[in-house]
Amino acid sequence: MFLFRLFNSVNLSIRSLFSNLMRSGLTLLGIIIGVSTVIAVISIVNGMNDYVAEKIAVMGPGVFFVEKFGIVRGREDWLKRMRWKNLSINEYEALSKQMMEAEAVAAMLSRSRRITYKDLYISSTSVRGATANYLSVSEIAVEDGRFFTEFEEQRRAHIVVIGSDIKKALFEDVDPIDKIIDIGGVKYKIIGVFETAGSVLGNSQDNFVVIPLKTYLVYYSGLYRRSSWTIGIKIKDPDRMFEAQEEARSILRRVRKIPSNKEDDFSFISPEAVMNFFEEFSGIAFIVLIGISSISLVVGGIVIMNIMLVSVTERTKEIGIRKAIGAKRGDILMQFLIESVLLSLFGGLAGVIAGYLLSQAVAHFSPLPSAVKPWTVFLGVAVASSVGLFFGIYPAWKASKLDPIIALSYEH
Amino acid sequence: MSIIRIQGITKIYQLGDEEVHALRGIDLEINQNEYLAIMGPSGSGKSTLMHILGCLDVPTSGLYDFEGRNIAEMDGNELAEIRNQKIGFVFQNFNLLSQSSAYENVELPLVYAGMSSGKRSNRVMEVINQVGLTDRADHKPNQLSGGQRQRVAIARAMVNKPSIILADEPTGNLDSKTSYEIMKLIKDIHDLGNTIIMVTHEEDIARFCHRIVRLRDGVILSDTKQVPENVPV
Ligand SMILES: Nc1ncnc2c1ncn2[C@@H]1O[C@H](COP(=O)(O)OP(=O)(O)OP(=O)(O)O)[C@@H](O)[C@H]1O
Ligand SMILES: [Mg+2]
Repeated sequence: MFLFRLFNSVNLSIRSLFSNLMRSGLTLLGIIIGVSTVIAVISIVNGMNDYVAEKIAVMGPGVFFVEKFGIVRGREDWLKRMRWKNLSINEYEALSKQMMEAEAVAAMLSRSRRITYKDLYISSTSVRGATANYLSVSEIAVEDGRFFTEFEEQRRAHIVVIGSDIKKALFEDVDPIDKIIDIGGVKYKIIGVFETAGSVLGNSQDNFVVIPLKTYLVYYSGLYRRSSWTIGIKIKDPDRMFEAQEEARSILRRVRKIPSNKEDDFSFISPEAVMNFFEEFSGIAFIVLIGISSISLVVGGIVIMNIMLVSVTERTKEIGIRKAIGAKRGDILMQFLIESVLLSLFGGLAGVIAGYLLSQAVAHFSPLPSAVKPWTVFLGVAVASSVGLFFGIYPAWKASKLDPIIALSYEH
Repeated sequence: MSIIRIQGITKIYQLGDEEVHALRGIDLEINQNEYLAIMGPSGSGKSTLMHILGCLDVPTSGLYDFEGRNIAEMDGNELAEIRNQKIGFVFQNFNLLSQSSAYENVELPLVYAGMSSGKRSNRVMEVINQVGLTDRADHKPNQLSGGQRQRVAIARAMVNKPSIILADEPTGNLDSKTSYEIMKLIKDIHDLGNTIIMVTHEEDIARFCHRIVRLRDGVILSDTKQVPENVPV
């Protein structure tokens, strides 16, 4: 019986909404903006979350890196870290000799250089010099051929393992293995090709080559403006990440002679650190943008309340007629509540569509990814109808308590 | 058997500091299947009385029994139910929903009565047919003549099979030929067993009724029975 009355009320409300379609459309702008920002923000933050989680998986479990800069939080931080001493072979050797928690300690350095094969070239590729245990701290695998050995590294061999972008650009129809390429004026033989890693925020992760670290030091490290080493550490027990980092910290502080009252002048990057940083960042983005959408939803709600109040006044006579033929207070209340909920529901649906298009556009025209989850559609619709319900209460209550005789004699 | 019994009904409107005594003590008893005209000069309280009889308004004092139940003891929902089930109201200015078709207007009391839409359509078409508007059912009020609008309003008043139909100057906005058509329709409804109370200014219209109550300044001046004339067609 209640459902039946509800159905009748919905029916009556739809009739009167459609008779005012033009006005209905205009009043929904606030709701549309509110809901679409909610959807777009959630989709983009979700997309980034998925994406960062996926990229972190590439780092592999139980691996962390020691770097000079690490995760920089703003300009001040960057200026401070600029003054820190570079990491060098000293730190690398100390860690690889002393660290009990480590299974492997790898070192790497990188520079951009031009790569040439016959008359083809890539003007800028990341050239990494790495120790032979590079693969134990990197999640990327060699797809064709092999990686170099400790022995080859020690004798400064001119051999290279290339990323899949290099293969695509320079060896379209040719097997790259055993071909000779030129890297910044020095010749190398290709011994392996990495699998494709994909791209991060629009930057390809496959435009790089790896050569033995000792070879790198001979040709690319430069005499002045030496760059800081990156040291990758694979730990024996992935559950002891904290202990391993503490051990590395004390070794590094000793090697770098940091007084006990001074803070560290080096950084750790681990999957957790990246994830924490990202979550902090997306949390702020969430709060800011949810703030924006709440404001538009409240504004949208007030507009709806206003339009419903106008509608109640304009339709005073109609309300009188309905009461005269037997509508109860509840019937009138229900009719106007349903009307405002339906009104904002249309706004919510339009907002969901707009939000979806917005996040698709962002994903398309910027490196930011976006993932529209089905539950956000329900969220948008639910948020919109709650706004309609809440801001519809007062006008509906006003309509329901009109006196039938006064309402009937109302003239505009 | 009396459907309506009122005793000592008064209605006082407060207009700023001034009190308007619209009704000053009305006693009236109306029986099943009576056809009664309420007459009187403008401002004598006819509409006020009709609104009270129709449970659209409450008296300032006095007793009102409708079918043996004291109206003063009913709450808003019970009064709405009486208006919906027991009383059909016909207004001088029709009071139809302008956005809705004739069909939808007639259907509305059944919607509020909670009738299922299948049952509704049979009943609606039945009364629309009875008032002779079968081919106008999907017209909006502004696509109908005054007489046709009043027929829609009468159909709406009848649709819930009320025990009483209250008509406040139902022919007030119509020319005499159309008025006679409406009076014929009301007479037919009366002949089917309905009780009818009608306000009118015109002796020419009142002559079709069985009983005439005359008001002046909120009191009953006279209450007479007569032999009704036939409506000329
Ligand atoms: N809402 C109101 N507020 C104040 N006074 C009112 C109100 N409604 C009616 N009155 C007064 O009550 C008196 C009776 O009015 P009512 O409408 O019942 O007269 P009526 O007999 O129907 O007149 P008419 O033939 O012109 O329709 C009048 O003096 C009128 O001015
Ligand atoms: Mg009147």
